[in-house]
Amino acid sequence: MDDLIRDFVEESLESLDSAEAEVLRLDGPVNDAAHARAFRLLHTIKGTCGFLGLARLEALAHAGEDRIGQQPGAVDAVVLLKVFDEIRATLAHIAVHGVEAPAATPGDVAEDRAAAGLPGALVSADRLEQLLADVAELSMVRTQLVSAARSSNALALRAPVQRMSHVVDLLEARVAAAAMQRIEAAWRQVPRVVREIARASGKDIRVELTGGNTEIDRGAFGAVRDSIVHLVRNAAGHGVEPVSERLAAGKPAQGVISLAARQQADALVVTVADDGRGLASSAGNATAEVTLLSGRGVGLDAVREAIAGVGGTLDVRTEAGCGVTFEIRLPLVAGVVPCLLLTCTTHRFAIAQSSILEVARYPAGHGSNRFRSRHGEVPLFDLRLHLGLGSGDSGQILVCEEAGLRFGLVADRVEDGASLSVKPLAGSVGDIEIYAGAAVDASGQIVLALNTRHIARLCGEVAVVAPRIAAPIGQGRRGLTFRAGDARLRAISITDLLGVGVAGAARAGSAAAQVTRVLPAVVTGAPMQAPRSILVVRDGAGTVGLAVDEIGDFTLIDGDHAGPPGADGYSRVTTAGGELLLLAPDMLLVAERRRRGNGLPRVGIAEDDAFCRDFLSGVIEGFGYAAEHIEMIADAPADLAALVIDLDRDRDLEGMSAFQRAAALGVSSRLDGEAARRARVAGIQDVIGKFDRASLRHILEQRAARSVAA
Amino acid sequence: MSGHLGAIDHLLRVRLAEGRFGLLRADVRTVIEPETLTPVPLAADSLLGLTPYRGRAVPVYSVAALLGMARPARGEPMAVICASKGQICGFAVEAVEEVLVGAERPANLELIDAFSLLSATTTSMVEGDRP
Repeated sequence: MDDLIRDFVEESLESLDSAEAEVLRLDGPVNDAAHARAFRLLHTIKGTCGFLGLARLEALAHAGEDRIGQQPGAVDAVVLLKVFDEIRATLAHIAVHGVEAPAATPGDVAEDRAAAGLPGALVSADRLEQLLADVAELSMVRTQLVSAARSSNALALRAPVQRMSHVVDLLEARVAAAAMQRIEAAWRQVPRVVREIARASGKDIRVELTGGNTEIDRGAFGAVRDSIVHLVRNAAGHGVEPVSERLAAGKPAQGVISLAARQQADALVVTVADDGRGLASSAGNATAEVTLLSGRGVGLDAVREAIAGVGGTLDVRTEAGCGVTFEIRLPLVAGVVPCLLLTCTTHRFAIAQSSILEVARYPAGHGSNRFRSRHGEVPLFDLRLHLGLGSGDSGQILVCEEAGLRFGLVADRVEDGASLSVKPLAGSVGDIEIYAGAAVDASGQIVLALNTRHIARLCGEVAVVAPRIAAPIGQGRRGLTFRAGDARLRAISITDLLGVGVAGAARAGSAAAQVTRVLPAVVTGAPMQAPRSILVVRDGAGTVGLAVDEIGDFTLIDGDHAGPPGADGYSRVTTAGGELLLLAPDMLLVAERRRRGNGLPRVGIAEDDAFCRDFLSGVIEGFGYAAEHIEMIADAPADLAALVIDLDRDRDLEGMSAFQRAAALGVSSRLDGEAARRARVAGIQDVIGKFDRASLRHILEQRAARSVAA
Repeated sequence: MSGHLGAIDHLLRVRLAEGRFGLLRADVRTVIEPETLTPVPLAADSLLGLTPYRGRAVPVYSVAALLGMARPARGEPMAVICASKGQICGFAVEAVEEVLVGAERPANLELIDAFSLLSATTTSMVEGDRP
């Protein structure tokens, strides 16, 4: 029998004994601590079962968990003990045969319970799906009703309709939350898997887990869990080198496998990264390379397929000698994505706002398939030609960025923004890669959502990534207007906006639901009267909500720009429609951090790559520092405790001031000596691996102590 | 297209141009008359369009086209909404006639597994029909 399974059976039987003792204690008056302990034990058994593929046992443990989890005050000890007996019998069967008992022997309790509709039974995925669909329909009817009530003269209707609207919001959030699960349940077994493999192969591997509370749709959970385990096994078995090989390559003896989950505006992203030898072997030995590749390639197609099966994609990034990063991207099935709508002839399409950099007019008579935008020259992708909808010598260009690729999408017209719940298409039409899915808008019309990643791949060109320095205001840029604190018209660029929400009633799975911190969008002036809406913007690795009084319309924010944003985070822009105050969220957040004066030492991060920046700021904030993004090293403030610089990027390091040099700390994922050489030339004392948390923490502590002393 | 379909309890008898067929009732959620069908550029000819159903954009396919038959002259106004393995699709037919219980199924009624027809078109589309 598999060692893992034997260990599991032994440990589970032990856990079961103590769980039973807990439940016997619960038989008397329920005590919270005892209740929590029993719940945890069942949860552990369930998690392990999932990983070992013991579905029957997992369902049993889950049923038991529901039983004591949902009714802390009235636990039926007798029923639970019966479940325990079934688990014990199943475990005994596994101990003897190495596999679960075939169908119809013990184990069917959970399914029987579900079928009988008993309390504590599992809610079947099908029923949940139906419930979600009902709520979605209810929500749509609500929208129609609210707008009808608004335009009618029946004043008596308005208050009850408002109230109903609020209840529907709550209902929607609760049902959606029931369809979500924390991702940590999917990787709970990872440390153990790695430990087993490391022990068997004489390696030293550390596991790092971040973002475990990110929620994932239940429908995708199984596929993601299996994929993670597979990728981790690969990383531990084939990626991370034995200690001797690592030392010979100048790497720390201990390898690192890091798992991270985070929610982006339009996708859930799970990464599995190792700092091992990478996919392309540097051994220079063709045979070794083939073995290595095949070793890691086995099953990768299966993983890709499993992820595709739940509407996601799998990407691989690798660098010889520096490890491999797998990135799983999943659509936010229950999520609502802020989109911009565009039209080609009579067809309407939606594109996620998070990928849009600017909107420009298609120059009349522009014969070229390239376009010089404010974000550099980009290849043009004429949607009309590609979809066989004819062509036009006019139109609008949406400059988009996806996965580091920039392109200009040409359509007839750019319409308004809308928040859409995009779902994958079923059947053969779901295989047309240019569509990410489709959504039904508030008026009941269907909109096809474009897959910008696919279009970026079709354009197949890596655009030069110029640092974004306070992007200039030009033609066609769009923003969302709002009011906060006073009567002045304010706006935020759609490229800064992840989503909007109602204060206190965010839709689960939406950007607004991820917000844990809400700040006023205006720091000066009169305090706001009960803010009703929030704008969701990026804040380092996470998101933050900015409370506003009122959200208005989408509008063009072209115009004469009266200088850079002030200390309040706003700049004055004179547009065709009048003057407005344009918000620069970064400035507002920096100002807020300073004002908060929470005494946290500040650490600057000079890193253009959003993924690495998010990773670094998450880690640094976790260590108890305030992390902030530095666009230009020359502009880095003097009071930083440390300044983390990515040496793998081509940066101007020569012009650093003395204090910047003293604060500087180089990170690199290449250990070929080039990074060290550049650091030496620039006078940077310390260089560490990009994902080396221990060294980072150590050096930051030194710097912070020094800056306090100074 | 027909053949082994596992345990059969109930069937929905539908009419196409070239006769009557049975659809498995287990997959069937409901029957609707789509008011609007939003076309999808690049889609196979068998796709009539997308229709809103319970907050979702559901693709509606012509069963006749999937079977490689002539499309009914009187059109395909009815869509049988089916769900299988988390996918929801509509299958358009000329008419839905009645529900048959297993025992009364006429021997000559051909059965259609609508979802397996879809996977067949998927393959051909990937290989050739895409521009």
